[in-house]
Amino acid sequence: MILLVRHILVRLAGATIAVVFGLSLICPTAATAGLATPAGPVILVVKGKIGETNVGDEAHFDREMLMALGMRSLTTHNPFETGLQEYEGVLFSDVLKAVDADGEVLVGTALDGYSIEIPVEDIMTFPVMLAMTWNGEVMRPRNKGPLWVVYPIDQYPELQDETYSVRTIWQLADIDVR
Amino acid sequence: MKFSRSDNFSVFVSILTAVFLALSVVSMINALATIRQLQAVNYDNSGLATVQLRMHFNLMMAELRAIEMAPDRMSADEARLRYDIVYERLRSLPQRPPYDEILTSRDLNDLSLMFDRIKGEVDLFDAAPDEGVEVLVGVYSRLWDLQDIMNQFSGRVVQQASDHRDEKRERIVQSTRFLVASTIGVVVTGALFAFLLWRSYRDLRRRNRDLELAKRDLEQASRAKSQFLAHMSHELRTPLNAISGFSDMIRRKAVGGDISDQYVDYAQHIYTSGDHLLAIINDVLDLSKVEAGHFEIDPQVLALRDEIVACLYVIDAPKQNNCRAINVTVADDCESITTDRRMLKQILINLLSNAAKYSPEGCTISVDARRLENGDICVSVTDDGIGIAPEDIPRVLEPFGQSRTNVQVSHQGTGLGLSISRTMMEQLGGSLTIESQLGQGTTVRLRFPPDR
Repeated sequence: MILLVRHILVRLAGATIAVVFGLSLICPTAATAGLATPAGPVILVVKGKIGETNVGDEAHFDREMLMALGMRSLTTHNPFETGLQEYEGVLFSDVLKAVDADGEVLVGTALDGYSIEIPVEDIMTFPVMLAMTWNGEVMRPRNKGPLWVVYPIDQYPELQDETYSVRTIWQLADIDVR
Repeated sequence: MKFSRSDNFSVFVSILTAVFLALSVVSMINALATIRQLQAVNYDNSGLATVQLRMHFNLMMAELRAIEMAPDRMSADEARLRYDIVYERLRSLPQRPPYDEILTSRDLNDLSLMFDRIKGEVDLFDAAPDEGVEVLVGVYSRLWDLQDIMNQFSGRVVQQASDHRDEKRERIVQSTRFLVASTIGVVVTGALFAFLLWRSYRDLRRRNRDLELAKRDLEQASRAKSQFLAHMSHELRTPLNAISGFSDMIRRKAVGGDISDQYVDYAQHIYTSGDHLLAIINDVLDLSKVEAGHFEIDPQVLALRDEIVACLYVIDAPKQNNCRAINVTVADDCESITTDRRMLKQILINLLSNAAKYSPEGCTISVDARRLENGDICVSVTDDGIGIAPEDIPRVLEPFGQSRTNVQVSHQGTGLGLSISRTMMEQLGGSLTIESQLGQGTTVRLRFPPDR
């Protein structure tokens, strides 16, 4: 009897190990449980040195996913526009945290292929925004959407420099963490 | 204040260095600004954005053409994306650097024209997702003529961007040349400074050597002078003794005989003149000794009152000048003084002789000794004689200097007494000062340092 119970327990333990092992093979993204899968059109793809992914080795975001990171408001001037501009969007640093980015430079690429290097230090030092609405309007490619990197140049006068102006990439669609 | 040629050159080099330094600072600021601009690696300095605009426009037109040819096989998404990109680029191009600087009014007109034409189709592109791709049929034909404008526009702007870049490059080259030139200027003026410094050092050494030689020569000359004076005085005194001695015998008719009174009178003149000459020789000898530092100081503790009284006996003032009274006051705390007896007596005799000499009959002379707060002993000799004009006081302290007001009695003195006394007081570590007003008497103050 004891032998039978012991036999059953050994079998159960083996089966449990097999199930757990099998599950881990079936669900290779179990570690990325923190990053949801986009339900709507993808507006941002983050790749490169990141720890969190949801599609292959990339992190794809739709508008809802980005908004879930916490929307912020920013009112500042912009080197390419006249007058005060109002933006709403997410902090660039929140996006980097969400994908567990581990790099020093971000290569941002716009819908039209324009590409720019942004030091991670900028993002960690200043509250740089990935703007999603501009003066109350949702940003589409036609008005610099879907995302526009906006530096708070009024709040941090040291950012009023050409070095930062060229980093304010619009129509941003892709970030490569290097 | 006069500047020598060397000083002028130094000032010139200093100004030149300051100018070059200022230029260097300006150049460095310029260079730093240029470096910062160069660091903005993504600055579009080759008209890339215009090229991309044309590329996206062509892609949009290709997509629209395909839609026009086979609308049933196409999706509106790609055309819409290209349309949005072209729309945004046309709108924002004039505001982004360097296009905000390089676009001409013709370029801006072309841009405005193209933007208006593109914007005119916006409703169709917005309707396409709902109403189908067919709504975009005809757009290609309407925008077809823009291709030529776009090509010309981008060609011109790329050239302008290139010119702009060349201008910038030229500015960088100029700024670098400027920096190099001002640095060379700083180096050259620095070298000139070093040369001037070396030359000053060399001149200083040469002057020091010359001064050393001059000092040695002067010392030698001074020794020679003192020696000469000592020899001369000795040589003069020897025959003078004979002159004085024999004239004294003649005036006193010491050897008897019949001598006329006129000869006795002549002998008296010879004797007086000889006596005066002896006094001058003695003073000259004393002065040369004092100046040469040959007067050896032998400090002794002396009873001040006794020394003053002894000097009074020597000059015999009442007999000489019928002085009415000579008052001597010595305070209790300076009864004794430590100083050189010979010098003290010579100084006092000089002062008392002057006081008696330059005072009228029936005069009063006072000698007052007291201790000052700082411990010095002050001996004052005061007379109520003719006095000295204040402006003459420095003169009477110089060798052979006499007051212009005393010319009528100047022949009685050598003009060396006060000068010798002052030099001796300085050698004793003290001082001699004169206070006087014309017609109101004179006070000469001797300050002896405290006993050590």
